[in-house]
Amino acid sequence: MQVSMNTFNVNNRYNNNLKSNHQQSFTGIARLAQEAGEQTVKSKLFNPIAKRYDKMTDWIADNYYGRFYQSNFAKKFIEKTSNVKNMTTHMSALGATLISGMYTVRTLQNDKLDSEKRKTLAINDVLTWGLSTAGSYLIDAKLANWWEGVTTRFVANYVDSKPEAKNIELLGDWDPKNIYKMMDEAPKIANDKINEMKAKLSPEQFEDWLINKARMTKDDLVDIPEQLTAKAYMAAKKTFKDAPEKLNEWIANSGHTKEGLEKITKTVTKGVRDLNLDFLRDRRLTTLIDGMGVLKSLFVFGMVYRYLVPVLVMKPANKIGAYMHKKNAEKAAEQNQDTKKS
Amino acid sequence: MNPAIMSKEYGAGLCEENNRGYSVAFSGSGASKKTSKAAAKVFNDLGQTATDKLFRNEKFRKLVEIFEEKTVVAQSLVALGVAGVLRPATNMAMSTKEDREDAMYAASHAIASAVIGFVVSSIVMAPFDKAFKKVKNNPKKYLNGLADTLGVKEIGKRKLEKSSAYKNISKVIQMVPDTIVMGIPKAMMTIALIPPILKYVFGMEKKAKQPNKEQGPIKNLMSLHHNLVMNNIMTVDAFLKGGNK
Repeated sequence: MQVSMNTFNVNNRYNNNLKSNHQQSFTGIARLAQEAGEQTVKSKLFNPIAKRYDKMTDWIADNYYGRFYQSNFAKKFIEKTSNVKNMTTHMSALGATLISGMYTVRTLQNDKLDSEKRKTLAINDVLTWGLSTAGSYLIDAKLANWWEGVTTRFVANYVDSKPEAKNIELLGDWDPKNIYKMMDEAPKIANDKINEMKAKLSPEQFEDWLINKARMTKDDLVDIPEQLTAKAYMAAKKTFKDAPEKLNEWIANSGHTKEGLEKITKTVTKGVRDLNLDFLRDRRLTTLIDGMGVLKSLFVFGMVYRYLVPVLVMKPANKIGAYMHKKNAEKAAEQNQDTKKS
Repeated sequence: MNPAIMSKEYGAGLCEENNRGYSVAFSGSGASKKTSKAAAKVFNDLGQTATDKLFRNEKFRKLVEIFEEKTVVAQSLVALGVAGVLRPATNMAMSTKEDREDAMYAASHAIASAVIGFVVSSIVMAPFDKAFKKVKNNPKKYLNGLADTLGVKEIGKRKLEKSSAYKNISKVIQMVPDTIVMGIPKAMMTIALIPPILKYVFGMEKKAKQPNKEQGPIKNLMSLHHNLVMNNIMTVDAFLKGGNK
């Protein structure tokens, strides 16, 4: 007798859905043939180009990105910028500085303008650049907390509209309205669930559940309890703020060193990005969260550099220019009169 | 005390600490500061506001993805919106009858510059962005041996996403071709392409201004300033010869 296992699982259902959807779209053999014919023509025409393009991008990946990542410059840069946040803003500022610097140098070297004009224009360039850079950094920093909230709302909407992103298997069917609460409670919920499943399943079944259903890895079996210890340590630090001897006692009882506890504190889920990376594990959502940060910075820099300062600075810059030129003209006139008198 | 027990006892307090400073912008209306701060932790009206509709829109999500995956193109896209639409519109709105012609020229100049910048960046960066995606999808091949440098246990997609060192250096590598390498040549190319575009697309040519005898050099200097600041760009001839004519 042949014994068959119950093969109904999410993957099978997904494959069945795919099959049925695919079949529904077929409306006739003629159309199928026409589509196939069109595809062949397109492939013949574009395949060689696509292949060459693909090879070119492979070459760039190997020779530009690969070499850059492996370079000594990259290693030194990583060492020096370990505490830097939001590199997009610094790169935008660097780009603007290069272009503005080029304009200023060119203006100062232009022998077709008299020296006063050159100076005035150079001051204008530097003033515009300085105000733009300072203004961009200031606004970008001021908006950081507010934007974190906007991004959290964005993620709550994403999860609410795409229930599979909730990681129900691990965290249960939670309401995205309570995303802030989930950021705090996820390590404990996940830890309890993992322990429950570990007790319930055989080692093989547990591993299968952990990796294929709960979207976790074996490392998480260490990382998640560590997160709980780190959170407890943070709470202890807060509670025993004025009693260092009690905190030391707590550390001694915890079985960890102070340095070790400080190190794992860095792994605690702090925001919505960490919630996704640690527990939801939705790759598209990571891109979207990072994209929201880049969107804010590029929008602030674009608005300040290309709109606010050029439009708002023009009038005072003109006034400074006019004042300087008037003063110099007066000085020149006085000198002329003195020369004539003598 | 057992750390696990500490976690249970003090865990709730951490939520407040972590979330301090988060936005209250979406949390209902008319609430006092104290209540709205507490309510900020729950999005009671999730899915009901115009912002939520935007956040659920697939086109908006695609746009947000472009900002992360094709940062340089996104930067040009912002420039296109700001310098190609908003600034020309403001220039025109602020202009008087006397300088309407100058404002129109400046507006056309800004639009042409923004469009060229966007097109050039999109073309130049397309293969780089595709190559970067390949690196991102296969980090073990390109980042082999960098686990310690990047502060991760091993090289893998998810591990790397948590590394701020990886995030920083990746953003630099992503933006270097346009910002550092192509920045100045792109500016020159934009400058070179502007006059023909203004002439053949907008039907405009910059007329050489005669010096005004009454106002003399001050007026000319102002005109020069106006063009430089409003357009933030020089003619190619002037650029190659070393400045504005």
